[in-house]
Amino acid sequence: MDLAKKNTLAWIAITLILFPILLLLGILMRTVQANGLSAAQEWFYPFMTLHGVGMVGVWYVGAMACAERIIAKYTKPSAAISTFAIVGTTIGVVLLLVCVLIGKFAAGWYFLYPLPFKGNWPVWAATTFLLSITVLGATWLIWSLDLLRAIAQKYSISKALGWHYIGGATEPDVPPAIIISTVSLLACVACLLAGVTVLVLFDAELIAGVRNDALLVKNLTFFFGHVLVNLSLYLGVAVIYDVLPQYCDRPWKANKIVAISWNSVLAIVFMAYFHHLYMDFVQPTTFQYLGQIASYMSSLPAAVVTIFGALALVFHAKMRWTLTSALFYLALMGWAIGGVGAVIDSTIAVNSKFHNTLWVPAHFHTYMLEGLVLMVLGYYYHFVQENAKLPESWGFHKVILSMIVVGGYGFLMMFYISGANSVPRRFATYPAEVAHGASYSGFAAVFATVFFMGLLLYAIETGKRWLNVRG
Amino acid sequence: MFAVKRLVGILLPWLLAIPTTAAIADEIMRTEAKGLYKSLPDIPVQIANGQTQPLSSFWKDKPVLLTLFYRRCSGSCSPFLMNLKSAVEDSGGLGDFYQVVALSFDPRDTLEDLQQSAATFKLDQSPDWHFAVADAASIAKIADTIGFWFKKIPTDQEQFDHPSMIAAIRDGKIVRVLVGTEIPHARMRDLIYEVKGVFVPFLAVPGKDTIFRCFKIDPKTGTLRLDWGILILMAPALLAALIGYFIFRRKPAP
Amino acid sequence: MRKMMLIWTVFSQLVSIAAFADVSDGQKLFQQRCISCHTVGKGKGVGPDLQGVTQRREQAWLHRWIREPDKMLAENDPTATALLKEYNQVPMPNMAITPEQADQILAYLANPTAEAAASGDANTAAGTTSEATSPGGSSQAHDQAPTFATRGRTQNIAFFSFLFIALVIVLVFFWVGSTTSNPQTIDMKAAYKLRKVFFISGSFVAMGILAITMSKTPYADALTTPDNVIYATAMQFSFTFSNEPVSSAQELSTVSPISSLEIPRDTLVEFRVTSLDATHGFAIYNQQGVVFAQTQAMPGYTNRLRVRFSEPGVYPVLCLEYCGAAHHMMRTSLVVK
Repeated sequence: MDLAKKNTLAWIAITLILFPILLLLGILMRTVQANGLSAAQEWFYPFMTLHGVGMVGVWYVGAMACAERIIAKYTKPSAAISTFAIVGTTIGVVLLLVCVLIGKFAAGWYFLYPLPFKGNWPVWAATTFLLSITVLGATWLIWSLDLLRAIAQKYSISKALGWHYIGGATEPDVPPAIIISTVSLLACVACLLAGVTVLVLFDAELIAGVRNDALLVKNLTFFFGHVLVNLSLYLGVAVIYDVLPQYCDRPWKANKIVAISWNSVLAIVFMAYFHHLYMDFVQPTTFQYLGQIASYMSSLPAAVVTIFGALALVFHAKMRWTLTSALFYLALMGWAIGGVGAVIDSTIAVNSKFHNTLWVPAHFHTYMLEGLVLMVLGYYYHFVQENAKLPESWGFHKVILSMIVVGGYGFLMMFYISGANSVPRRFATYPAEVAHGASYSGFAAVFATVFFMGLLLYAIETGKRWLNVRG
Repeated sequence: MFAVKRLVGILLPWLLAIPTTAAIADEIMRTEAKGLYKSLPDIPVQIANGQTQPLSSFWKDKPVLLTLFYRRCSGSCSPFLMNLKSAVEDSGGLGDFYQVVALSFDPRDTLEDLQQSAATFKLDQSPDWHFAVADAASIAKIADTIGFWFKKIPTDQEQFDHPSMIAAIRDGKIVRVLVGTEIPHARMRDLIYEVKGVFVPFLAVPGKDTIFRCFKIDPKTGTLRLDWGILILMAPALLAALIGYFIFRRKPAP
Repeated sequence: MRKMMLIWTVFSQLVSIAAFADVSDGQKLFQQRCISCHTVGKGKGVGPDLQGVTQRREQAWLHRWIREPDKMLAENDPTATALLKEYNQVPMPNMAITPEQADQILAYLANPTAEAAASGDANTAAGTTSEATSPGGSSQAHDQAPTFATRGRTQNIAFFSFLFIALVIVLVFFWVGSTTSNPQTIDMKAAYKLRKVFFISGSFVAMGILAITMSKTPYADALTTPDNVIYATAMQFSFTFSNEPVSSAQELSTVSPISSLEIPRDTLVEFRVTSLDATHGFAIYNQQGVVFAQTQAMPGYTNRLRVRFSEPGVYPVLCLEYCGAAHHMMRTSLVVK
């Protein structure tokens, strides 16, 4: 087996080890919020930090690993860089585990300035955390640049972004996955550079003792965080564009509309993050309005065009329903539903009631847990099954899918109800005014456990094939 | 905590050097808010040229910085008015968006005294500086509203004990008050922007050693401007575009 | 919804019986209110290790300290001030603990290892949280979730639009999925035409909503002047209301804080909100436990939040931006008369 394939297997293993652990941390957090396991309360915020950074990181690398395999169908990314990405990510994860589990670092996944300097954790924990993020950021930057390089080897920029389609041409054929990956990877470079800027500013304060402008750092932080999460989803969508047609017995080609919408995503994605700063009234109001317009606009082309395209692809198709195609299909549904929650929250008037309530985790968990996660898991299964070709039981897979859907949406619904009922996010326990938040947390923990069981069954199915491929 | 300590290390010498200004700043802040957003009584005043007009005729025209003084003051009045004059000049001059009314609270002050005061400070040619007198009852009303007080010094019947104060008036309401003979430059600028209707969204930080601030205040026009910090936000996207350009510069192999 | 809440009540009682059957009231309170900063015998946290604290300090002092640490700090109580200094200037927040609760906590601290008698009242696990009185004096607890009537108009519109659109999405996906049992070739031209219709109508809807909602922003308007200005200064883990601006921790100790803030109804109040350490949130909840208005408290900046209250009563204020170990306890309240 070549190195590139081995690397993909390694990514599958990393994801399937880290995801259940991080998921359990999430269930633990919801249990603490339900006033159970009070002894674990002091670990709530450290675990929240680990859960947050961990999940964002795992699903970013998961999406990258899938996209890398898709890109490898058309051109040749460097297998050595891919190995380097695995090593770098592992080092970053180890540093992260050390600072959270030993140092009790708990500044949250976006470590909002100046909280890392203001906590009750030791200096070294904050430094180790920043180091961990630096290692991860640098590794991922190099990885993204290599994938872009690989695309550039075969496609010129106008082909890679599908500009010839916009110009009216229909030839040459460029796979939509390449167009979307190019858009995502360019956005990725920009957001990682923003992350680097944040880290440099933190270091300047640590080393040179200067002070930072909190508004600036917050802007950069969300530029980094928002775009990173968005592009992870886009990479997952790129994978669906490439793989789903194989199950539908129909082609899914790029055309003028697809090219226009993904190019506009590239233009808009950098402005949508302003919606994270709506409640910072000192932010120039122009940015606030731009934020709402960009948030609305970015959902239209990508989601409407992609989702409509996917539905048209499946409509009356000679569909081969398998774990992969079903996960992909459900993932698009989750992406759409999460997107609706996001667009609602990106309305300034609504945000002033929903900001930092559980509505926020509600929508991002929707497009992560029932979107990106299913995209990546779907592709992982596709990859191992393609190579292992073991017999499949659709009945058993339907059980897995039902657990993932029922557990997942039940869990999410608790977030949405809590958010609509003003229950704050990131509260280890709830004060009297929002004591009802504890009830939703209890339900959520139960539903999440169902999802977790479904995930374990999925892991068994994929694990069997993984071992078979590995040989 | 370590960052705080480091900061303290840097700031401490600087703080120690000016302990008095810190104390004054405290006093200013404490008194400032008392009259905030109260409406000023509309009293009749007589200005140096002998004309009598309601105080409201000033603020109907444009915002007013109101201060109280008396001509024979051997204490703070003269240095205070000098400070005010230079603070106004330092902050870009009166421009056309506000005016200063210096109201005498000494019943003995006459129109000649007002003219003489204006001449002393070389303000007699400035159309936006007004020296004025009013009757004792009106003065008492004004003083009460803005939190000003004065009393005769027992040993010297010519002199009064009193604070130095500026009240910024917009549409007949107090929007800011500054207390103290010294007029800290930054506070004065804040006051002028407030009277103009510009809200200054920061108090201390972004301060001295802040790198890349998001905003700055333009002293000439009194407008809040974006600073380098905001421009840095564009850097990642621009840099990414540049990197993209270099990666895709080579023609792909056919 | 109501049915679900009923099921939950039963379920939560079972859980709470299981989780708290062998735990005293004092211990429960300690675990709910104190544990994020204190330990008993496990070393320093944000605050001191409370092992043997009942022997170290006087009962009366402890009793008051648990209930109103903010007042004692304001009065420069020597022990309180020394503790503040020792623990990096992180003040002990007022946790709105009643005298009875303070007794229970002290009883637990006096003998932390004792096996408490099973209390039999299974509901106290949730009950202790809801018994808390807000510092304003009234005891409004919201164990019950807001209902349709009290949830707030914006929240209702947002929530039900979401549910409706999500339901439509689910139905469309299931319908399209079900068509695959009957494979046919479809006319892509018709599909593209439909997509155009969707895209254009979607754009119009989006623009319509933008036009309607963008005028309803919470940002201060330069043309109106408020009737009253209150400065709110956030610092881990408490808020200070004052009539004067505070720009440093040093100044915070010199201003006179408004200990219980009273606001006349139907007046336009401007809160000038800032922070002296990390970024905090400043969210005013109404009496139904629903977010009423909010802004962020960012170090170095002053956010102006303008609010007009029409209903008299006690309004809790919670920190909504995660700010460290005791974030969920950072709170204050105000009274509208």
